[in-house]
Amino acid sequence: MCCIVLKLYYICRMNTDKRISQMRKGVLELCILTIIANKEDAYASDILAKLKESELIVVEGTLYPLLTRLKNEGLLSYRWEESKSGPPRKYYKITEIGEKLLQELTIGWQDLIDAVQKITESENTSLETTNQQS
Amino acid sequence: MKKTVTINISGIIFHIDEDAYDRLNRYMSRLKRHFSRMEGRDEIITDIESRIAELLQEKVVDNKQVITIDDIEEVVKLMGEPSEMDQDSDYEPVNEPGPTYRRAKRLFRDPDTRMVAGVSSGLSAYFNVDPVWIRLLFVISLFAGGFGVLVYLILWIVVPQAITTADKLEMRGEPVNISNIERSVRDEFGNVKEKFNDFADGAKETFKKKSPGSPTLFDNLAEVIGGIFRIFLKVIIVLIGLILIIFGLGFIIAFVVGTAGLSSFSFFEHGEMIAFSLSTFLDMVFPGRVIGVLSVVALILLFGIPLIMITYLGIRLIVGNSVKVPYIGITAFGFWLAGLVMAVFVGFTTGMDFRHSAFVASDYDVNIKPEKVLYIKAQTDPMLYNSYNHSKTSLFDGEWNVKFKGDDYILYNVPEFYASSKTRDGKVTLEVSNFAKGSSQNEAYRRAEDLTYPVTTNDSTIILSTYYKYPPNAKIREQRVSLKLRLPIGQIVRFDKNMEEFFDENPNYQYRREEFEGNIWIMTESGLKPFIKEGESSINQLLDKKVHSNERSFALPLCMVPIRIIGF
Repeated sequence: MCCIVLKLYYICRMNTDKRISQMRKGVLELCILTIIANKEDAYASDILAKLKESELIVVEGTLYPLLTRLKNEGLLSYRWEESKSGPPRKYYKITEIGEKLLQELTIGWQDLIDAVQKITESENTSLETTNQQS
Repeated sequence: MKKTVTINISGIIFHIDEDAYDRLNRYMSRLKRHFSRMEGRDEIITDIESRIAELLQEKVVDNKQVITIDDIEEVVKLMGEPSEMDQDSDYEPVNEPGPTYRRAKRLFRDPDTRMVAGVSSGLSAYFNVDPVWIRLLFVISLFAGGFGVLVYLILWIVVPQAITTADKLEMRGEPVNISNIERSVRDEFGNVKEKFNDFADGAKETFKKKSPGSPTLFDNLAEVIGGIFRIFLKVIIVLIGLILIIFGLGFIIAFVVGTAGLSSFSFFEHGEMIAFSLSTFLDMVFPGRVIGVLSVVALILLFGIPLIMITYLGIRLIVGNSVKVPYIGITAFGFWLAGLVMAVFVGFTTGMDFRHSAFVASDYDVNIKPEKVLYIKAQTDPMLYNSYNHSKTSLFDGEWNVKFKGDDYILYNVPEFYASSKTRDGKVTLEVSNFAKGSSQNEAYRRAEDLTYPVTTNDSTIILSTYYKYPPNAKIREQRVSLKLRLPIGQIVRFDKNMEEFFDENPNYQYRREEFEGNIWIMTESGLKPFIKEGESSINQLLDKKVHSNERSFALPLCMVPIRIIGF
């Protein structure tokens, strides 16, 4: 009996983690594009610092496959720059296509926030304070 | 003191401890393997490498020149394990049929196409078959002892439901089959090939440069040998897994079929339906209903759980960790232990019934006149034969006979027969002794007394019963009845023709197939011997008999020649 209860708890916890990580996945692209667009010129450590600040990623390794994919899709371009203290750095820059996508994504994100807010506000008034903050 | 290695990461030179180098190397090859099916794999790896170089550079200060294993651990923790990298960024698999990233399959319950709890539809997704077949199997199992219901309930509890989309994708993932196993072996082989190329390059370089300190040649050699060894290991593990699955499932099926067969064993015999059920058997053997049921549960747990675990181990060996059921080991062990406790309890309580034993003896004297023939006949309780036929049902390889009447049963058996020449005052005596065991002396005594074995005697005849009877619904507690016929030497006995069954099935094997019935025998100093009448006793006849049954010694008894028989 005890084992079944433990098992159920395990399933619940696993699913919460999964859900949250799935929500994160969706916005990670948007965040990376925004950071690069704002910085004009960004290299991996800068992006990492920002993302970690807002606790969007847990491990650094996550970023590199994403950057490579965005670059291969033509949303980013990069140039090499020699560094005095370390290995040569890849500075990423957003392309025109990337810029367009970013605009669309930002609008989409704003719409999503509004829609979610509408629903959560009408359903749950106790969330008001959180909404004001955002 | 530690040996250090010099390495080059993204063009930066590091001095690194040998163990730290090993750790980093393993991490990098894990990453390579993980991203091997992804577009732009080399680029990702290069990027990660240069980030690692950056991080390591921060670790090197003036008074600490060497990278230690702790530094590497820290970096690895920061970068994350390959599997962690997926959790946050689920890169889309490339749509073309080329190198897509594949997930291992997991067993889930499918809520979308379910009939009851989604176990069947989940299994069908897992094994890639139509769910109808699996449902059909479960329904069929209802008629074969209902074992499937138990399996279904266990799966319902143990297998999680597919809730998220990711779960459902994982559930329908790649089928687990032989080609998959083959693929994983091939992957491993590819790795070794790569290593071999590296090794060849390394060898070339080493011979060119002749740099004596370089460890690459032997390192690579070791890696190649290790890789080949790993392939063999993998093939062997898969083989062992297959053997375990076949072994475990085979025994489970045999066990289920055996139990199902025993639980509803019915057959037609001479037009009569005879049902011998498991519950009847339990009633015969165990002291109470509860103990009987416990014994069955204990048996299922004690044998079933190790078999299930063997099968599970086999599946794990072949498929890997993707079918890992949490807490299965401790759960299985707990249940098995419970089974063991139950078995000990059942054994103890049942064993208590065998602690004491008791005899009940009764003697029947026959006041026969000297030189008269003693007639022995058998009689069978008509109740043991019904009007239909003259057959009986044998239990446990013929050890017991049983007569069913509705839910009741009566056990009966042939008593053990001995003949002895030791008499009290030269009298003919039949000693009947009943034996039984019980949890107390009184119980054993009562049980022995409850055995019924009627005997009637008059001045020249003993009428025996072919069978002794247990009381209705009696437990089997080593009951037996033995007969000892004491005859003075020279006494002539005629066993009636109807004693055939009595002798043929006698527990005393010495008296079987001796053709007692319908023949005349005489008691001699060395036991009963066939008696041959004066006129018939030609040497030829004796020789014939000897040929027929050469195990019988034919020392012609002196006493048998001149006796004058009255009544022949």
